[in-house]
Order: sequence, then structure tokens, then C-alpha cells
Amino acid sequence: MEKKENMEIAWINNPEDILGIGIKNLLNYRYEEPKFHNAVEKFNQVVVFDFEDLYPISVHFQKPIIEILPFNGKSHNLKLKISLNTLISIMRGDYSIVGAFVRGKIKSRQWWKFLSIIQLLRILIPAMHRAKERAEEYGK
Amino acid sequence: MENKNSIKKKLIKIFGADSVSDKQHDLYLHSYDATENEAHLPDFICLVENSKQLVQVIKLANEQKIPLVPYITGNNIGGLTIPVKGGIILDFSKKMNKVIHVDEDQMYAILEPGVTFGQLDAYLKKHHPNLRYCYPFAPPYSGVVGNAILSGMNNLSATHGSMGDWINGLEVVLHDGSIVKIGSCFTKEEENWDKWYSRYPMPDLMGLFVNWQGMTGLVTKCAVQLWLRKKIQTFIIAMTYGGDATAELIREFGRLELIDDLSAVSLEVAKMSLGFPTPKKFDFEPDYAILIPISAHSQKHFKIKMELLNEALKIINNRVKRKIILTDFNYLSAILGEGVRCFADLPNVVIPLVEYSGLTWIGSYAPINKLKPLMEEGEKIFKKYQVPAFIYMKSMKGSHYAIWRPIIRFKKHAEEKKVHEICKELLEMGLHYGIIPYKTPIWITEYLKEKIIDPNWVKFFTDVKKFMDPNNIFNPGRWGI
Repeated sequence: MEKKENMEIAWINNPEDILGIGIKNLLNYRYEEPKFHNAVEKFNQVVVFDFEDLYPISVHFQKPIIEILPFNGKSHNLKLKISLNTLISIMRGDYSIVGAFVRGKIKSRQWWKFLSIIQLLRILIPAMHRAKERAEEYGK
Repeated sequence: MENKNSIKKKLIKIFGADSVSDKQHDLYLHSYDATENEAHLPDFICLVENSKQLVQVIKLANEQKIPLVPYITGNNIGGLTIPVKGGIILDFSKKMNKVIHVDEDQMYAILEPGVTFGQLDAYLKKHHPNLRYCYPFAPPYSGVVGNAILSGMNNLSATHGSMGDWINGLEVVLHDGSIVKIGSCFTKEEENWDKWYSRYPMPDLMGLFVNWQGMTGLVTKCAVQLWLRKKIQTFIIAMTYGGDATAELIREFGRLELIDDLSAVSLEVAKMSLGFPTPKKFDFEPDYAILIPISAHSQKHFKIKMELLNEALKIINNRVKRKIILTDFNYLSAILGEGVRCFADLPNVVIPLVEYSGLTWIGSYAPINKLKPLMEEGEKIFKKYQVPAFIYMKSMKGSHYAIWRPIIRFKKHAEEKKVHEICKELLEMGLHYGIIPYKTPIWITEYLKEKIIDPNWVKFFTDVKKFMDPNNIFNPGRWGI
């Protein structure tokens, strides 16, 4: 567990599964940003990322902890179907997140929760940009 | 044998006072390696600078029946430089470590034995940026020549096979002190660096030294083939569920000749590199991560390669129970964490290999059609001993054969007995499926001689050794001789 002083969201748990480790690392790109913690606090929901090529994982954006766990079927606010390659294609800029929805690369049966989806994107997109910059450095 | 003081004086005369040591702390450092193989003190450490010194020390060793053990950095995983009969450690790493020549047109480098992978990489990048050698799954301070003459694998193995296949020429000091050049460099000319361009077509005497673990002579120069450093060098990664999919991907991708290499590791190993020294493996996770370096002359060339690989993947995915995921490693590593880069940015310290004081393995060449049972049975053995699975596999030379290498990390001076039991069980299971161990510790060669190898081969091998080294001065004890 990591503690971050003077921030509302103080913890991200230490997942031990490979997707959980990845999602934690992705969120950690923004861990120093107060904006990130504000966005998480406002969001305050449980999201399931159903990686259809791997396995579903839930991210509990719930103050004062972000908890990343393999999905155990329990209640959640939002569920998105996605694949690892879609996530990477979005990072790489092959298409946008909106484009991914339009192409059916990300699916959700909860369209009426579009505000939640937008809030979630506000958390994720900047983290993905940072990860993209890192990936491009690796590629040099 | 004369007394030690008298021999020490003779060694000082050959190597110089600052290049000979019999101090206990120096001897201790050269008495062991990372493996579970028993340590043994040498009598002297000598820092070798040139072939003339070797001629003299060989003469002395023959007279006094003193073992000579070649040593570069001592980080092999087979007890290969443990001086099991004592004697003189000939350390090539400090003073005999020059890149003698790089032939840009004919694409080879002539190296002294002490040159390391990190050194060669830096040298080529600086002086010959359009050429590259290769890198094993080993730290940058590992020796190139040692790896080459022990047929080590590398990050171009899927296409080009083992480093042993790429040796153009050797210079070797024999038991009688004669210096012989082997390969196309076999002419009377001295130091004609232009002539080291081929191993063939004369009788292949290289085989008297390759894979012999320093038992037949002392290699003083080695010409290794270099390869074009292509404009695009990148990585893709596959994640697989189950032995079927993993084995099929290794075999099928390897034979397409589109990729540089293909290294599969148990998923646990990826986690080890991400800060989990003893990781859990969940049933829902993929079983293997398969790193695939790929290079191309242009974006167009790369695109075509990827199209062909994706076509092949579709066919494989139609046959396997659960689809294989193939993705961009640079992006995936940006998601997962910096640690996993240690498998890609070679030469590098591979984190999971250095986290414990002890490291050992059953390194083996394996029939590529037996990878599935090898990985499945291997996983069971790891599970039985409650050790995280660490299985490393490769396709070699267009999938003509494979590498299967279960690896065990352990605490030195505490877990040797248990580790030996695990290794023995892995070995017996592997031999059942036809593996052949390489860079073998003595206990494995003795086991092979007793249980597996045709006695006619053993007799022939022993006769050759006697011919090459009548007084048994070169690394004695290896292969039980």
C-alpha cells in the first residue's frame, strides 16, 4: 500500500494479478496530480473492465482507496467490454476512445450512464497519454 | 608437483607479480558460482595478457600436472569454472579483453576471450553502428567468447540458431604449447585479419573446442559473425493460455523466419520483474508471456512481416482452446511497468535472475514437438516443491529445435539440497522427452554417461580428450574426466 500525504485519495492497493498490476501502474502515471485525485473523488464508482481476451477486473474508485481486484461478480456501477489490443490502439492513437465506442471496440450496455463514462475518461485519458509518451521513448 | 612457493615463483615469472595471486580472498572469489554445485578453491589466480604466457603456463602445467581452468566472469550457470581439482584459474577478463578487429564488409569481429557483451555492444554502436552481434538472457558483463564456444542462445536465435553456429574462426593454444588457427584463417600469414571470414570448407576442427568446456585447449581469439543492424528493431509480445497454444505459437512463429527471436517465460517471471519476487499465479491469468524481437529494413518491410504474423496467428487461434493475444511490447511495458523492459533491452541485468544469491537451471536443447509436455510436467514439479514456475523456452533456427530451460532461484548455503532434488526431477522428466542438457554441470554429465549416452560415444569422447590433453590439465573433472 502506498500513502500519499495531503491528498484525499490516499491509497492504491497492490494487486497481484497481471492486469491489476498494469492498471495500477497506469493510474500511477497521474498519482502526483491533485487533479487526478479530485477526479477520482468526484467519480466514486466501481467500474468493471471486462477484458474479453483476458479476464474481467474491477476498479473501485472509492474514497479513500482505489482498489483494483479481479472481478468477482459483485455489484458495480459501470461495466465496459474491451480488449487489451483496443486499450493499446487507443493509447497509440489508432483511434480515440469515442472512436472505439463507435467501432464497437468498447461496449457497454449502460449508455444512459454516459456522464459516468465521461468522468471515467477524464481519469484515464491523461494517464494513457503519459503511458504513450513512455512507450514512444521505449521505441526509440 | 613442486611446492606451492616454487610454482608461484614460476607463475610470477610468466605473468608478473601483479598478475598472480594465492591470497585467500582471491581464491575464495573464484571458488564458487551462483549454482548449487559444490565450491572448490583454486591454488592460484593468474591474469592472462597474451598467448605467449599461455604457452609457458601450459608447459608448466604439463610438467607439474596442475589443472588450468579458463575463467572470464564466472557467471555461467553450470559450475563450469569451479576448479574442482584445484589448480590455476586463468582469468581472461582483466587484460585479454580487446576487440581486435571488426571487418565491416565481411561482417565479423575478432575478439579476445575477455570481451563482454556490454563492451562489444558499445564498441559496435560507436565504431560500426550498422552492425550488431546478439545478446543472451544474461548480464552485460557476460563473456562473448565463452558463450559462443558453449553454443549459447541469444536474441537472434529464432532465425540464426545458437552462437556456436556463428563462429568463423578460433585461435587455440594446444596441450603441447602450439598455437593453431582454425577456419579460413588457417593460413601461414600472421595477423591477417582479412582471412577470418568462414568456418568452412576445410574439415571442421572447430568441433574439437566448441562445447568442450575448456577441456581441449585454451581459446585466445574468436571470430564471430555480425549481422546488419536493421533500421527498425522493435518487440511484440504474445500471451498464451495452456501448453497447446504456447507450444504451437513457439513452433509456428519460429518456422516463419519473420522474427529475430522468440522467448517464452512463465507469467510468474514477468511478475518477478515487476517487484513480486515470489509471485502468485491465478488460474484466470495467461500462462506464458512470449517476447518476440522483430527487425525490418523499413516500415513497409515491418508491416508485411506483421501482416504475415497476424495471418499465422489467426490460423493458430482457430486451433487452440483459448485465443492468443499478440500486442505491441513497447506499449504493454509502458502499462505494466519499467521492470519488464529487462527482458528486451539487452544486454541487460535480467531482474528475476539476480534477486537471489543462488541460481541454477536445467539448460537444454529440446525437440520442438515436445514443448507441451515439457512445460506442463515442468510446471507440476515446480508446484510440487512450492517454487514459482520459471520456465524459459525458445524456438531455435527456424524451429528446427527448441530451448527448454527451467530455472530455480534459491538462497545459497541454505537450499542446495532441495534445489538439487528439484533439478534432478526436472532432468529425469526432461530426458524422458528427449532433451539434451547444455553447459552441463558435472553431476549432469555423469548422469548422462551412466543412463543415456551410448558407451561407444563415451569411449570416442574420452579418446579424443586424451589425444587433445594427455596429462588432463585442461579443466579436469568436467564430464567426469
